[in-house]
Amino acid sequence: MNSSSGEGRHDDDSALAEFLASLMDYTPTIPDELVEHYLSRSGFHCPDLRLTRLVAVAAQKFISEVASDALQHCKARQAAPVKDKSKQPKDKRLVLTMEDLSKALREVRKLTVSSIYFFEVTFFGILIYCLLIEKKKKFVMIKV
Amino acid sequence: MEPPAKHEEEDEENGPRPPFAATVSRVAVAQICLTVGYAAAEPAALCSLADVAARFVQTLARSGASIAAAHGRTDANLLDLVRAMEDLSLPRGFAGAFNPTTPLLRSSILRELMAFVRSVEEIPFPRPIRRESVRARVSPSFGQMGREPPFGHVPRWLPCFPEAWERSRREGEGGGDRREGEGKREMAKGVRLLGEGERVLLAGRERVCFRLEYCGGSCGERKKKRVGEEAEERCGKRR
Repeated sequence: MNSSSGEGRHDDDSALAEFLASLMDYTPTIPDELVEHYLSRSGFHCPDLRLTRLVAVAAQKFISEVASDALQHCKARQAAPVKDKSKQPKDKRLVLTMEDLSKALREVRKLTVSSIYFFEVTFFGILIYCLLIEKKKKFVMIKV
Repeated sequence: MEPPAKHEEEDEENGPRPPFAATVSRVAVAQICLTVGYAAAEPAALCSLADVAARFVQTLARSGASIAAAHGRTDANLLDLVRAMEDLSLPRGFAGAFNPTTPLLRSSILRELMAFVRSVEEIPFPRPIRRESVRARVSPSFGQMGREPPFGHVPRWLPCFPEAWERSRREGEGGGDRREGEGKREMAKGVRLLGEGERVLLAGRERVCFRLEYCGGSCGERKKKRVGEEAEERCGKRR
């Protein structure tokens, strides 16, 4: 059991090492110069080019996900049945619009905001509950 | 992807040009949209998505830098970056987020990135971007120039003092201590060679020398008169 888990770890480490080495041959769509510019502006200092490429790949993946979500919204809108045929758009090209992009980004924002909202509600809820308990205790002491 | 030329022309006429980084990120994001399946994009939507991409990189970088600083390091490493990516992905969720003891190098985010790199075609940026060259403007030290510093308290490893300062010091020592002075003009004729590692002045450059004097009330009046006389002289010369 231990040997198999150890072998698994070894495989994971070797896969990660191979991936980092392959990043030197892989050219992300977001250029290294642009990523380095933003990294230096933000105070992130690392001379290793592989980490710069990793950031570029992560940003490319994020933008691809947002763009594909927006594409799904665009396709759903085009596939929806239109009652008035005169209003039907003639151009059936897939165009990135502000409407689709805002819907896609709203999903990202919703998930981010909902987690913060949940945390704040629980925190303040617990705080108010504790304060109420303290007040109840005081009332009990006065009565006695 | 077909560029919306009409809107671009309008933007160029109305507002100032966007920064170079924003333009480059817009082109990169347009290429990503092309790979996703889009045929065209509205300018406003493309600018917004490019801005989002820049903010994503900056947020990731800031988070990674702060994590590295919290561990007492100025240089960030892979672990800091993975932790920053996990923090950024936490609201959306990722596999293994429930277990905080999962090793960072075995994070599911890294595995997702590996799968993404394997699945997506490699599309590099269309044109090479010229890097901003940082010229090393380090002037040579006294020791490197083989000269002795003018003062005893100045170490030899410091860069040499400017030649103009040294020249003015030599002129001041040769003429004695002068407290009063007048403004004069000199024409620097020809090209000056100031020595190794120094810049060469342009020919025919007009120079204006001023010497400040410090004195009381009566001297102040004399100074004002002198300045006024100089101004009259200049006006007279111009006419």
